[in-house]
Amino acid sequence: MMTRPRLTISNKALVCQDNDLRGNITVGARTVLHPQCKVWATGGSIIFGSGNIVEENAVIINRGPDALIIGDNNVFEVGSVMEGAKIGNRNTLEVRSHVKSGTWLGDDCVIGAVCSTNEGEVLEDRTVIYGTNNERRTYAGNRASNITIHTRHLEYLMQTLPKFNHARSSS
Amino acid sequence: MLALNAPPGQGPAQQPFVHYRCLCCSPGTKPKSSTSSEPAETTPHETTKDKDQQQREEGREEEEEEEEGKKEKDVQQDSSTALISITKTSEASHPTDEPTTGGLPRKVMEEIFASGNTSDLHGSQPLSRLYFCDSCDEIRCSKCSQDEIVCYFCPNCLFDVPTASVKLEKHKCSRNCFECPICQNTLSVVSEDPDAGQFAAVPPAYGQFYLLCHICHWNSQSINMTFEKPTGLAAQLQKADETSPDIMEFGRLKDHLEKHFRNSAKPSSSLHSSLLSSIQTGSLRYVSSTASSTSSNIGGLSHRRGGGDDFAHYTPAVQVMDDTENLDTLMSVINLNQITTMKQRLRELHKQPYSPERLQPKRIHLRIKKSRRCRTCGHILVNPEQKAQSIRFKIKLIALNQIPNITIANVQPMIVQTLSRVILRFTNPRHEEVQVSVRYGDGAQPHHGVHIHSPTFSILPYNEVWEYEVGTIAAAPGSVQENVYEKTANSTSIVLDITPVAAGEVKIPLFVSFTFKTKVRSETGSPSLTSTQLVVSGASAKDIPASDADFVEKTVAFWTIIGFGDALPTLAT
Repeated sequence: MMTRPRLTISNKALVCQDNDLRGNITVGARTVLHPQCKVWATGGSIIFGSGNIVEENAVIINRGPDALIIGDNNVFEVGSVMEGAKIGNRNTLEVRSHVKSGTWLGDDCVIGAVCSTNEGEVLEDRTVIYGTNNERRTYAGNRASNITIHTRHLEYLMQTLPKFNHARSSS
Repeated sequence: MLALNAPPGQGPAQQPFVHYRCLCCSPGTKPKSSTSSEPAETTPHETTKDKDQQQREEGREEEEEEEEGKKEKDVQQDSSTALISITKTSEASHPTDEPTTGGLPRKVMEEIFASGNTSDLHGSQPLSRLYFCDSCDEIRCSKCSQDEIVCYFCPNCLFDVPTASVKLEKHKCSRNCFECPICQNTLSVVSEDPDAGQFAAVPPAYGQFYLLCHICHWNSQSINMTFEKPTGLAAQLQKADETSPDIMEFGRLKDHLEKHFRNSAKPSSSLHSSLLSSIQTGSLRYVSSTASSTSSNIGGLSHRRGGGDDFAHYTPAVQVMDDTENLDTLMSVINLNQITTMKQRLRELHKQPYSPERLQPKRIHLRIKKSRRCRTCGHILVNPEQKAQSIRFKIKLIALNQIPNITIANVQPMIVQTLSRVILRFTNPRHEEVQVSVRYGDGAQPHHGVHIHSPTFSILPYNEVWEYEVGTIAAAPGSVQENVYEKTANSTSIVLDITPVAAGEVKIPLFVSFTFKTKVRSETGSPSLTSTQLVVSGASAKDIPASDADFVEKTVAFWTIIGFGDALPTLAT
């Protein structure tokens, strides 16, 4: 007998109603799931950390048997697809980027717009994939300003989204 | 079942196309006036009077030409290209018998016909890439028109750079626009403190601004490049640039050579120095490393030209790393990220560093807006507005707006020795009704069997209202005289029966001439047309009614090449 899918949402998280959530999903504090995003835990469960943003039409799929643990402060931009096996903290998946199955993302990685990783690739921390040929590069420089911007982004969404969308609560 | 793809082993299937030939680079013979009745030789746009009416009549498509005997026509002829337009009125002695008609004398027509009578694609282009000079009434391509620079602007900040300061700024934006040395995207100025500017009370920290690429996340802090204030970065960088050894070395070498050219009072020396001063940034890396050999090379060059001038030996002040050392460094590279790509090196010509750490952000190159001028009559074909922000054109004489646009409306697969039916749609962009005649060129190789069902037909004028109609408006019943396939708003479709004789790409050269009535322009805008137009208007004013006098008929003839894709071998073979 199949158990009923369980959706666990933190009190401080914001999960809009018009989205497609399947399977066992846990959403951590201050994580925002926009309307029209897809989170499919068809295999193992998907566990969001805190401060993640999943935008419209972003897809996160976990087909494997193990749980997909998503770290903190990641951004899944419009139309991005995440099929990877592991994702650390402060990563950005830009518009229509594609993290293919089995990919491991470290911390502070950036998958550029329309770029994709290879299957089963392991990306070191601070890797950026950019350009038409999916060029890879490790970048330097501090991310302090990015963290501030991300915090403001979250604050703004927390204020604005509930005005126009209904929020879900744990089932 | 027939496979529609090309057989294996051959190239990809050829796509159908419609190309228009600009005869400036025609593979065929150039038209030449050789008749004795004409003046000695035609200079471009010389007006000649063609008295040979016998030949002229036969060239005409209109039936009334046959019985009309004596006519004089003013033929405006251009020998440099084969597209020839004729502006003429009815002749003076028979003003009423002969309505104002247009057409090309057969001889001229034949010349155009001969000039492009081939299926060779050389010199032919899609209509969208061609221009149409309305004073020469000829198709012009980019090769037979000349470019002029209208303005310089920065593509990033859209700032118009005055021409006077362009050279001084080395053709690069002197404001805040930089391109990433890694991925060549635009850099943006970022502050370390995201609150900067919000609280004016806090003075900005020293060097808190830096450049950041949002694509590859390159950061100018990684090469220790920071700025005190977020504006005028180019000037701040320039200061650092001027003290760099390569720039100084180039300046020294320039001084050295210029001194020499100034001393030698050769007429060619002015050319050299002007060339030299126009080259603001050269490939200094090679100049400085092989300075002595380069200077002797230049010396040898001018020696051969002007004779007998010697250069003082130039000793470079900067020694560049030897190539063997470079080689050692390069041999030890194991990660491609440790070395710059070819593209990155070529963007920094005077340094060409191998190490990514030595790459510097570059100021963005200025772009230009160009105007185009007809080489024959000097009229402007395309003239954009001078402001960088504006995307409008003051003058836009593109061929798409002037000559019938041919599209392949329907095509059957081509099979060798099998008749296939093709529908060509002619669309009229003009506001005047157009009479079109189409002729198949016999110079095609291979010579496919082509039968044109309605070689002459008319197309209704273009009307903006039709743009908003949902369907097509069929012509009123009975108004279609020609045996055309279809006649809709401002387009007419005709049927071609093509029997390919050999396998391979089927390319059909079609000779198209079209006649339209246009108003006589009272102002003699074009010097080339002046004589013709004057004769025309003089004759018209005297002899024919005023309503007719306003209009002249013009005929424009040109070659097109239409490709219908690959012909397949017959089923039997």
